[in-house]
Amino acid sequence: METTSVETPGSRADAAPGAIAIEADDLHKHFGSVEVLKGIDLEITEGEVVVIVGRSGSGKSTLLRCLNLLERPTSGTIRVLGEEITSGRVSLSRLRRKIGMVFQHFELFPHRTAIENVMAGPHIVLGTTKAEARVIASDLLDKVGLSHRAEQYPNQLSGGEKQRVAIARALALNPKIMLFDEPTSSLDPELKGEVLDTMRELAYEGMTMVVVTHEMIFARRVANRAIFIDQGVVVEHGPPEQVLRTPATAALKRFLNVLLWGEDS
Amino acid sequence: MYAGYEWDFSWVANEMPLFGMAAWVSIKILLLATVLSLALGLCIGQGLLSKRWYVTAPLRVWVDLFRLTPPLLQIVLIFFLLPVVTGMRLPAFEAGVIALSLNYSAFFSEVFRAGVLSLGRGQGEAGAAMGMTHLQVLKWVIYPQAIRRMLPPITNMLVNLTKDTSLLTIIGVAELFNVSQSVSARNFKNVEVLLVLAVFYLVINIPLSYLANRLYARQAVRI
Repeated sequence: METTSVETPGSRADAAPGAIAIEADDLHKHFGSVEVLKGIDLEITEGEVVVIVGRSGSGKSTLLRCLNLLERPTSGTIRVLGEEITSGRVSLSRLRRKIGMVFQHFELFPHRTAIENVMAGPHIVLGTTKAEARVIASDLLDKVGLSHRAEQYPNQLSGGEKQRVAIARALALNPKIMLFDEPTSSLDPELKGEVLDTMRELAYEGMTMVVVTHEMIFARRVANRAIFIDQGVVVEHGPPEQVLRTPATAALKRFLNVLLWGEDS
Repeated sequence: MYAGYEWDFSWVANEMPLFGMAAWVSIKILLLATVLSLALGLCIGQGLLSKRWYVTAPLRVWVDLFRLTPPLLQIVLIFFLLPVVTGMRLPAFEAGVIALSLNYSAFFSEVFRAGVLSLGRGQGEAGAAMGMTHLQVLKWVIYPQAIRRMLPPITNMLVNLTKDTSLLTIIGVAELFNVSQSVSARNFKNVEVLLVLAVFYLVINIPLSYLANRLYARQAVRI
């Protein structure tokens, strides 16, 4: 168990060597005539945990999906680990090996067992032998506490277990950065904890994480920085305690109110 | 039943070798057209899923051309028109197989396209986000899942294809229907010959249709 005192952003400062992991400059994204991102600047250092909050439709998921080019930004530049990914011909496969992604709806491969899902990265993408992939995969399933579920198919797992397998699957490529797109939003409240615990452990190991989430407690205890996005622009950003406790703008105040009390005030 | 008609199947034994050969021709058409139309349908279906309009637009036109005109017309056109346009003359059997393959590939392409779309975007994105190439995503993620949904309609189409092999009679391919006409002419037993002919098609299609029903039922349970 880690210490029970409130984890402040400063407590993880030693984990960040200071090199820049992700740098986005003036990102714009249009879907047809709708502009979803309207000039986003972002800098994330290695080892940092950044949460992105905002209403649905604010552009937060789109921003996340631009970072591994699941969406192509309409304009602007993104650099990942020092390499510009938005210009010219970038090998998507090579880029995405460095960036793991976890989805809201898990997206495990239903025709494969839990361990086969985790093996897919090393075996299919990196080309290791099946035996090597199996070793990597069982280590990771062990890490997320699911060794005993290795041979189950996804539809035999609970939501929380599915998401932990999905995290293991992303980690199997040994990524430098992990993206989480509302990883607990489709889980029942009692299943969220196990996923958030896994994510917190990952954060303490020094993984660079970008997390789109509505989990305010996770944001305040684990993240170094919170970014509030509204209507395609960054409205507030800073230490989570400050941003989420003492919001400066009416938009964030309203958002936090809705989150807490489920209604607009 | 009209009492004046005397049923006579005494010719059957004599003509059986001929029917057997014709049945083999029909089955060859069926098998070749199945393989060709599935392969072509897969490629076209994949092309129809492209995000680039200059890929999808011509394929759309091509597919609709074959989907929305009678197969009989396509068979005749390919057999008679191709030599006029290209100067290349295809034997009736080859021309017929190609016409049926093109026709069925148009329908199969829709089946493949719909099967892939039915999975939703998430699965493909999950594979892509792991660094899989487009081909790896198709082979490893999409098709193993989509094929289950595609099998029932594909089997159903093959039942239709069996019946449509008879259309090649129009360009003189010696398949079952064509041969039955000669047998009729020789024995003057038109009705009996047609009944025997029906039995041949049923022998091929009853198992296929049974398989199709089984696959549909299995899918219904799964969902």
